[in-house]
Amino acid sequence: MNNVLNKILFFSIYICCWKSTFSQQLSLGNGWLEQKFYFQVRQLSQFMERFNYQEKLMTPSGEIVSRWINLAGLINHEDSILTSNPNTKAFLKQCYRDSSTAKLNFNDSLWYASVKATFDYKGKPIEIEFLLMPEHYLNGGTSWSIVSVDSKILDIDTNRKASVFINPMGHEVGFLDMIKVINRNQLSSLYHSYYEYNKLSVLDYLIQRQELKFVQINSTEYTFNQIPGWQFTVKDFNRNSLNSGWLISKIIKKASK
Amino acid sequence: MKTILLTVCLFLCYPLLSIAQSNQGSEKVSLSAEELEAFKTQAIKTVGDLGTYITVMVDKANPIERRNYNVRLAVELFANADSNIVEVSSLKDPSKKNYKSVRKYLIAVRDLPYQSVEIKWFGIYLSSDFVLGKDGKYYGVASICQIFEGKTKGTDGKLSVISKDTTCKSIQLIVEKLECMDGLKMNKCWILKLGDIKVDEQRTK
Repeated sequence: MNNVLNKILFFSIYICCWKSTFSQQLSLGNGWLEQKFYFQVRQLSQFMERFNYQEKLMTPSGEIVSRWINLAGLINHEDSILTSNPNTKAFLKQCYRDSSTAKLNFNDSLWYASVKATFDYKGKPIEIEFLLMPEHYLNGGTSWSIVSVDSKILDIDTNRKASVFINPMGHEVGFLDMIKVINRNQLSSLYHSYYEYNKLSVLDYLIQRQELKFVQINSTEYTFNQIPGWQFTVKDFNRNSLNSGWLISKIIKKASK
Repeated sequence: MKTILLTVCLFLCYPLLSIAQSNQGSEKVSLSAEELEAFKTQAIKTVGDLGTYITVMVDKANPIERRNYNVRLAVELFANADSNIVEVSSLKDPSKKNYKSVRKYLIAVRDLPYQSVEIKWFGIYLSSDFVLGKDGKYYGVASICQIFEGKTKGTDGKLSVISKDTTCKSIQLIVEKLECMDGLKMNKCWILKLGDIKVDEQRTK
């Protein structure tokens, strides 16, 4: 029943929303594509503007729709699990209710991008996932910076064996223990407990050595933590539907403290 | 002909020159709300100009000199046509993407095997903000869609459509502070250039 109600709610946006108050020039013809691009969320910035109720959809009679409908249009309607999930409705409700605070902001650090890219490693395609965050500078400028990276190819054995170490007087014999450990491929056992293995440096090394060659970027998605109690993910749905473009693909309710 | 082209060129450059900054000495110069608004208008015009140049450069009915000249005009719209990248993804195989420098992309577009083309541009959308980058330049994105029809001459000598596709492009916009002529003096002014482009093929219904 809840699922049906949600579908009706989500579908209603298409019936009542025929135009939006884009402040930009937007040529709107009669064709399907014109309609599609009229409704489609074409940029992440546009997603944020619709989410924040800065870009407002309008009814055929020219009335501005509620933020609720603006928000509902940002959900991926073709995912029945998402649309029927009670969390989806609860999330929308909270954003609608706390309209002054439930806003997305480009300039904070509570969101990040995940970029999946294919690289060629010795003739084989390898997927590597990058996590990027906006980094802010003193001049007020911003850039996207890589925070971390992940891939099977970057995994190495970093287990520290308690039995493998350089004894406290090892320095007196020129750290000869190190040779034995390196030859047994157990270098990680000698890492200082403060040291954290860094996959990004390994990736950088492989790229600089030209062992890893960039092929293409496969996908990008954004994760937002800016709405208290919630985390949601936004992906680009390039499809033949009015409900397309940058849409919410996943909503997770955070565990209360 | 040259006079006309020069006039067109000056006309295109005028809006850029007219947004000259007066406080160019400071490192922390930023764009005012009015200037940002002016650049939004300029961005829509520049993207439209790119479309016009593409239409002319593809059309085999135009002499090669004119087509090449339009490639050059299009190249001039970009911050760096050799390092700016065009990513093209196809609906037939969305998993595969092609990357080209803007210059190579424009040359490939010029050499498309059509006698004539018709390009209908629609749905320009510009995000509301230009965001300041760490390098002091402002960055924005324009999205624009096009319906492309490639025509060739049949045995009866008539042009017929042999290829039709619809693509949407996301074009990076860069507002950069450069030297420019202000009357007879050199001055610093903000100039809008195009950057990387992402092209997505679209289904037609």
